[in-house]
Parts: sequence; C-alpha cells; structure tokens
Amino acid sequence: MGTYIVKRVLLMVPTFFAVSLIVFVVLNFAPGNPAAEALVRGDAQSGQSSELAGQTRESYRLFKEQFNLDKPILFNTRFALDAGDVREAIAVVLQLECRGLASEAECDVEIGDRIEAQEDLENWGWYAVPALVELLQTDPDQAVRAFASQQLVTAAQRPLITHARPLTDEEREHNRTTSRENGRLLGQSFAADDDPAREQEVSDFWGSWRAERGAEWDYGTGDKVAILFGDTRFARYWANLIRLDFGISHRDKKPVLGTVLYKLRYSVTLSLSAVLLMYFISVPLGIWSAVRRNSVGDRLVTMVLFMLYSLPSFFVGVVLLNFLSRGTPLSIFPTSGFESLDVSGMTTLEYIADVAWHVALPVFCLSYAGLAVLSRYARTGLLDVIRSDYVRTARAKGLPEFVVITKHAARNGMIPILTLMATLLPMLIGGSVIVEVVFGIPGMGLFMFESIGARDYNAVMAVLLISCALTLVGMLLSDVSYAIVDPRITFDRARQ
Amino acid sequence: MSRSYLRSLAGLSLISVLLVLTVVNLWQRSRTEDRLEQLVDRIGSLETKLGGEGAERVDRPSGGVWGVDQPDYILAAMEDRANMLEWDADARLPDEAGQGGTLVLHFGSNPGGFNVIADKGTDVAELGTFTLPLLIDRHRGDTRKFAPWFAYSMVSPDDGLTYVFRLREDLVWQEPRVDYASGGFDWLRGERRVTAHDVVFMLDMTLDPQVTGAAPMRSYLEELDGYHAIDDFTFEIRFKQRQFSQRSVVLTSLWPMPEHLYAYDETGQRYDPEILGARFQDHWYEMILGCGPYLMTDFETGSYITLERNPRWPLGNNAFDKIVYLVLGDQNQPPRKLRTGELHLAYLQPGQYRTEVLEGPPDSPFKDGTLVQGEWWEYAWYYIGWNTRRVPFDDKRVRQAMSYAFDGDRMLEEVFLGLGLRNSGPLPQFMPYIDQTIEPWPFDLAASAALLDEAGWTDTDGDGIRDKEIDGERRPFEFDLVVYAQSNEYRTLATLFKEDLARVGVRVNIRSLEWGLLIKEVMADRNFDAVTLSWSGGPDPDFNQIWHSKQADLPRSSNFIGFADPEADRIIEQMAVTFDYDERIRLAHEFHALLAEEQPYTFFYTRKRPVFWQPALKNVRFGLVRPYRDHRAWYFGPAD
Repeated sequence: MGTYIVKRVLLMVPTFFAVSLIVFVVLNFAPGNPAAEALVRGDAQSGQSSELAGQTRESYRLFKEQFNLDKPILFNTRFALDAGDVREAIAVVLQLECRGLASEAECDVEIGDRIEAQEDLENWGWYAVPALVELLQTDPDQAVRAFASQQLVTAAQRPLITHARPLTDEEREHNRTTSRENGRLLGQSFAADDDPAREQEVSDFWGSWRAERGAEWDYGTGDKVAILFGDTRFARYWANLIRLDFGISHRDKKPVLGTVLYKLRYSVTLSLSAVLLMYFISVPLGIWSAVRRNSVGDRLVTMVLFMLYSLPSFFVGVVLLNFLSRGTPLSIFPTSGFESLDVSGMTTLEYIADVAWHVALPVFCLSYAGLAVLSRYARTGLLDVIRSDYVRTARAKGLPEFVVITKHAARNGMIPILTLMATLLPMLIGGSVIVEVVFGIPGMGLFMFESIGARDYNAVMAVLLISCALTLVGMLLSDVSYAIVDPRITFDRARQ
Repeated sequence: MSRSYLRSLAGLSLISVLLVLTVVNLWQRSRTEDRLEQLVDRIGSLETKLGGEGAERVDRPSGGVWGVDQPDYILAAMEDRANMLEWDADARLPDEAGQGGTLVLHFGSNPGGFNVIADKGTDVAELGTFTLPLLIDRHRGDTRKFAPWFAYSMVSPDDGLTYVFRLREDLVWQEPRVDYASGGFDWLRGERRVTAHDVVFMLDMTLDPQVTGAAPMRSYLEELDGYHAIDDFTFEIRFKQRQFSQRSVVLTSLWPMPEHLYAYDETGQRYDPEILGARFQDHWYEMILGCGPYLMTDFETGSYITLERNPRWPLGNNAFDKIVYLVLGDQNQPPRKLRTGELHLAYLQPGQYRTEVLEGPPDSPFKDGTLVQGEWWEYAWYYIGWNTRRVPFDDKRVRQAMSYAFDGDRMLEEVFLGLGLRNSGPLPQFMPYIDQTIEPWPFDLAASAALLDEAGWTDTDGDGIRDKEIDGERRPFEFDLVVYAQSNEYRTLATLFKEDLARVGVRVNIRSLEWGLLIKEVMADRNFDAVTLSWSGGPDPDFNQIWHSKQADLPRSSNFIGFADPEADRIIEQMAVTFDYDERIRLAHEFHALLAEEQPYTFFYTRKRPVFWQPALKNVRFGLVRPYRDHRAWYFGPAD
C-alpha cells in the first residue's frame, strides 16, 4: 500500500505539470488581452482618452512587463532576432510601402497590422536592441533611423526590482543604478525632421553605448537554450509556482492565493453542506429503491428525481427566490448573501443559524440535481449485490432484513458511490458559478467567472490549478478508500 | 456481531459530529480573537486621541442641517472678486433635513481595488468622491460654476495659465485601519492635517509612468507646465497654454492623496523614489484613507463596502451616519431588495421595467406608490459606428443609406421601452451643445435604396443582395455587425435592423461578442465593419478624443472608426481654446451639423434610467456629473 501511494504521488507531479501546461496555453491563446482590457475598460466607461502616447505607452509597457505579458508563451526565439525582422516590423508601423501612393485610401496596410507590429517591437524589448542600433546606424531610410532611435529609448530600459518584500541594500543599489541608467537613455532619440547634427549625436551615443555592452547579446548555445525555455511566460509562471507564489491579480493587485483561500470558506461551506445533504438523502433513498425495486414507490421516486435532475439550477434558484425570499408572500429566506450584514454581535450559535438561514436555498439548489445521480448509483450498486450468495446466507442465518441490507449488502454495494466522492472534491473548490451569482455569495465560482471576464490569468490559473491538485488528491483518496472499505481490493502485488 | 456493527455506526456519527463542532469552534475562536484585536485597536486609537492634541475634539453635527459656521478666513475669501468659486445653494441640505440612519446602495460588481488613482472604475471613483474631497466642486444646477470644497479660493492671475488654490486648514486624515496592537504601525499614529503637499503627491503619482492605472488621466496633463505647494495650504498649477479641457477636466480632478501612508511600506520605511510609483500602484493599504464627508471604514470583498460619517468634516453634506454599498452581481437582486426595503435606491433594467411597471400588476410596489419613481439621465449616448476605413462604409452615401434604414424610433419605443430620447448628434440629446433643430435621420427604406443605387451598389445578379465591382471583383453588400453579447436589447436591435436591411438588399451577419473580446476586436485590432456601442462623457464636450483625425491612426484610440475630416479637425481645435460659453455652443452646433451630414455613426439614443427609491429618502436629486448617485444632499425623513 505504501509503495502504491508513493508511486501515485510521484505520478501526480507530471500530471499536474501537464494540466498546468494545457490550461496555461489555452488561457493565453484565448482571444483578449488583460493589458488592453485593463487600459481600455476604464476608458469606455469614463469616456476618458485612451490615446496611448508617450507616458501612457510607457505605462502600458510596464504593465505588460509586470505580468510577463511581453514574453512569448512557451518558446522564446527572440535571441535570433536580426535587423531584417525588426526592419520589417518598423516598415509596417511606418507604412513604408504606402509612401509613394497618392492618397491614404489606397494604402492597404491595415491599422490592425500596424498595431500588432508596434506591439511586437515593444515586446521584443531588450532582444531587439542590437538590431535597432544597427538600423539606427546603417539604414538608408531616415524615417526608419528616427523610429529606431525612439524605439531604442524604451527597448533598452531595464526593469527595476519592485516586489512587495522590503528591498535589500544590493537591490536598492541595483535600482538606483538602473534608474540612473534608464534616465540617461530617455532623451536619446531624434524625430524624423530633426537636423543631421542631432541625429549624429544620438547615433554616436547609441554606438558607444552598444559597444560598452557588446557581450550582452552574444548568446552561447547554453544561453540560447536557457532563453528558449526559460524566458517565457510559462517558465516564469512555474518558477513562481514552485515557491507557491501564484502571482498577483491585476484587478485588485493582491496575491491571488490569499484571495482564493479567503473565498474558499464560502464555497466550502456551501458545497460541503450540499455534498453531505446529497449523500444523506440519496444513499438511503437508493437503498430503499433497490429493496423495493420496480414497485410503485420506486418508480415514483425515480420520476421525481429525474424531474428535479432536468431542472436547471439558475431557474430553480430564481423561482425559489421569487417565492420564498423576503418581500414575497411567504417571506422565509433572505434575498442574498452568505451572512447578515452585521454579524459582530452574534454568538456562535446565532452565527451558525444565520449562515444556515442564508445558505439553505443555495445548498438546496446545488444538491437537488445530484440526488438523482447519486441515488441511481446507490440503487444499482445495491442491486448488484443483493442477489449474491453471501446476502442470501446472511438472510438464512436469520438476521433481520434491516441488518442484512445495511451491513452485508450496503457495505459492498456502496463502493461505486465512493468513486464519486473524488469527483466532488473539485466542486468543493470550484464552487458553482450560477448558484453563487444568483444568491450573491462571493465565493470561488463568482471569483473565477469575474476573473475570466477580466482576463485575469493569474487568478484563473490559481483556481484551476488548486482544483486540479484537489482532484488528483481526491482520486488517490478514493482509490485508497476502496482498499479500506473492501478487503478484497489490494494494490500490493505481494499479497496476491 | 450486529451490535458491534451498530456500535461502529454510532461511533462514526459521533466522530463526524465532533469534527463539525471542532471546525465551528475553531472558526468561532478566530472570530473572537479578531474582535478582540479590533477592540484593542480601538482602545489604542482612543489612547492616542486622549493623549494627543485631539482631546478637545467635538463631534460636530453635519452641516446644512444645523447650519455651518465657516472660519473667517474662508468667509473673507468668498467675498473676494477674483475668487472663481461661489457657494452652491443647491448643494446644501435643507434646514428641515434629519440626520442619521444608514443609507444602503449597491454596486453591480466588486470594485477592483481601493486606490483612487491607480484603480479605475466608476465604483472606486464614486467612493473617492465622498472620501477624498476634490479641490473644487461643480454646482449642481449649473455645471459651468464651481463651488468651494477642499479649496475655498481659486484665482488665476494670468487668466487661464496659472491657477492658485487656497486650501482649508481644518481637514485631517482619517486614522489608517491597521493592526496597531502588533506594535508595527506606531509610525502611523497621530493626527495629520491635509495639506497642499498631499495634492502635489496626488499629481506626482498620477504622472508617474509606473502607476499604470493612471494612464488615461495623463493624456490631459501633457500640457502641464508645473505645480507646487506654495505653502502648506496654497497650491499652484501652471499650464503651457490655455485650453478649455484644463478647466473642465484637470482642475476638477484634483484631490489630496495621503502621502504619509502611500509613500511608505508596512514598516514605516519610505520607498525609494525609483520604485515609489510601482509600489503605490500595488500599495499594501487595502482601503481608501480619506478626509472627506464620509470615511471608508469596512469592506468585505464581493459583499459590501461601508462608509461612515466623518465627524470632523467641516462643510456638512453628510446627513447619514453610515452608507453601505452592497455588491450585487446578479441584476435581479436590486429590484428584489427594493421590495424588501434592504436597498434604498436602485434603477431598473429595461427588462425589469417592462415586467414591473409596463406589464406589472397594479399592486406592484413599483406602481402603487410604495416606492418613489424618478429619472436619472446620464451623459451617455448610444450609436452604431461604421468603420470608415473599410469598403463600403468609406462612402458617405452608404452610411447615410444605413441611417435611413435604421428605424430608431421604433427601436427606442419597442426594444428600449421608450426610456430615453432619440439622438441626432455626438452628445447626449439634452445638452445645450446639441442643435435641437437637427432631426435624426428618418426611417425611409426607399431613400436608403436610392442612395445605395447612387453609390453604385445594385443587385446585378438578381440574388436579392446588392453588389458592386471593387478592384475588378464583384462584392456582395454584406457586413458584420458587432454587438455586446450580454445585452438582450442590443441583440434584438441587431436582429430588427438586419431584417430592415434585408429589405433594401443588404445582408448583415450579427457577431455578438463578450466585452473583453469586443474591446480587442473593435478598439485594438479594428477588425470590424460596424459596431453598436455607447459613449459617456461629462458636461463639457471635448470632441478631440473621438473625432479628431490625429486620433484615427493611433492604436487603441477612441476614434476606432477612423473618422478624419479637416473641417471637423478645425472646429475641434478651435473649441479646445475657446472659453466663451456661447461661442462653444455655436461651434458645437456647427460640428453637430457636420456629423449629422457625414453619419460616421448612426446616432441612436440618449438613455434615461428609471430609478426607484424608498419614500423615507428625501431630497433625492441626481448629479449632473459623475457620480450621478451624489447623495450629499439626501437625508432620511418620515415616510409620507
């Protein structure tokens, strides 16, 4: 058994990695972009300018840098960037091929392509510096040279260390030097209509600056491999994940893990009660159905359960609220929330009662559909064993029917139900989006839903990975519990 | 054997009960400890107050109710001719206003953080309005006038380039809500006055590129020449050139930010200047630290936010003891809570307005007088934007034909339940800057067809769809209309529009996109033919952002339809430097006429929201500028 558990735990690591890889790729390839979202959302609401010029552009770049959005997702081949690639992007941004055209309408460089090219240039950042310097010094086109100089000013900026932990003295020193260095670069660009002397000055500056740092862009094979796999969004994410750092949410700027753990208390209360309710009702119901299989009662129960099963929970939730919540004729339950607004004066019991009063309807909504499934499993499970010899033997021994069913038959018949336990674990954490929205419970489901809408990658990843880990653990637990419940099942070959 | 079995069953249930109780016990214990800590905090802060200079502090009633005594230096300044501020009689609470009570309002989603500069969103901005006083306040009735708020005097010695504000000397910062018991926050103790340096700090942070959240505001500050605190209570700001937007946007967006909190880390160590912006953006303090009429005192993410009356606020306008903002994600919750009385005021969505009011039973609380009904006009207007950089909408005649085929009156009446005004131009229809003589384009399919014929779009192959030869290729008249997926009304509108357009031989494909994707497709990638969207603005129109040709080619600009017209540019540029009200109106009318002809948008309507509130809530009037729910003059009276 011990070896088996160890083996399973070891297998979990690659599984978890693969899951995180898939989720990460899907998430990052999904259309939409948190940076654009974060910058534009406010604008559309407030009607304020969203022109991304100058400093605003700089903020946008810093935002991307903070959340690694400027990096490629899985593989970074930017070490191979050459002047040709960079010039191509610049040509699109500057619409070079449209130069000779009579009117702007004839130009078929789409604004979308230009935006994309601009974005690429920005994201290449440091990797594009040698190519940009080369263009600045050698390109025949003056507009390209001017643009390269402007691009250099941002591309050559080095990031500061801004994490929340207090900085060490070396880090502070690093920040001071970097900041001074970054500041020195700021003015070193020229516009397309500046005079040649200015251009010469700028060009010389960057030439000597590049010469000073010559070796930094000479990548060896080792460096290239490290960049290819290491300087990517995924690698950065994992590097943090290993330290259990799930990153910060770009919405409230707080560590995601803390928020998730905090939200957990709502969701767990809700789903744990729902699961308990489900098992407490459906197992006896299933057993009862199996004992009186095909009787009128059995059929009636089956029918009712399947009717419940087919009712969507958002509908039932709204109906329940409209008939049972305060302000309606029956006026029994509160309209929303997890607890009353002011719970500070409550004693433990009052508080439990208050929460129970609030979650009664949502728990019902979460559990009624599961009743059908679970009780059917329980029924089939029991039917499988009820005709077996040992049950007949038990009856023949003269044991009362109740003991025969609950002890001899049910114990074996309920094994399939155990499997389902494992699948319920992720539900514990994932919560239920719809029920949480309808009943205004600020749990995980609602959090995840909002995070997806805001393209809050870190938040979505955290929720999904934590529920992935829980599923894996849940499956292991259910396998182990098989062995405990049923002595016939063993995972150790030696005992065979 | 069976007894042992039953015993084990009993044992199991006992264990599970015990387990549950333990969990509950633990949880409860931590709550008690929490409460204990809070108590210790409160004792701690009481000690500071008793020991410090705050000992003579009086719990003064809020102003307006009992009359507000202003210090002599303020009264004198208000008499000064040069002072551009004047008292706003409309903003006062009436004499008979009662005091106290808890006002309950709601937000539709959780604010994304409580840093009023770094976190955007109308919800944070609304909370900011009541907790962090702007220097000046617009008059409720006449938005051209300014009233004193944190500043009691605003003068411009050189008529529009330099502005000097003199600030009240009696504001103090709220005590930060931190764990003083731990001993780690002693550096935050003590009373601090709100000074001009805090306003300087606010601008410093707004201008810092590391504060990524402040980016939209910065484009207005490009013409800023400088700003500084002349002394602790005098603040000066200079612009490079005179522009109207400076007065309408910049001067009305200045407020103090507590430097003594935001410039420091949790241990009281000041952040290095290199990273101050980045740390400010993600600052550790989780709430708003205020000094305004109300102070933020509590919040629970996803549940509620609490403001409490600031007893030391000297200007009144805070009749409520407490204001609770519930976070209600589900749109069905506000009307439900209005019925139960759990919410004091909310507006209804069009669908809810239909079921509750238009088709509701006569005893619906929304109809029988249980709730008071009012209207809330926003500076928001809706339109269909045509991508003028793409065939066929690069042709003015085609755009006009589209407007002819759009039955706006019917849409407003049937889909939007008549909740608004038809729009004819690029501003809310009720504004004086709109030329009321210009009518929206009438619904006229024959005229639409004629215009399409004229533009060369005819049905040559008899398939019922118009076509035209473009670059040697025959193209059918077919386009994608992007709509916001979460809006039922807009999907219906798109379907009706599609049917009407089919009758003139145009095929429409409706693409309903979720918000994030819509923004990306339309604003970032410009990958669209037509889109239904809305704009909101303030009382001083500035056409630059949406209509100037220099915005047309900027990535992510608001002029995503790529509109460019030299005449329009001229008017926009002239308006930017015109301060005279009548002249601004004349120019705006000119601009309106131009757009009405060009139809880069098919202008649709200006929305009004049906608002309902509990009768106990008195003097409910809505702000003409954000926040519309400006409750500074509201109060509770006896329900009639």
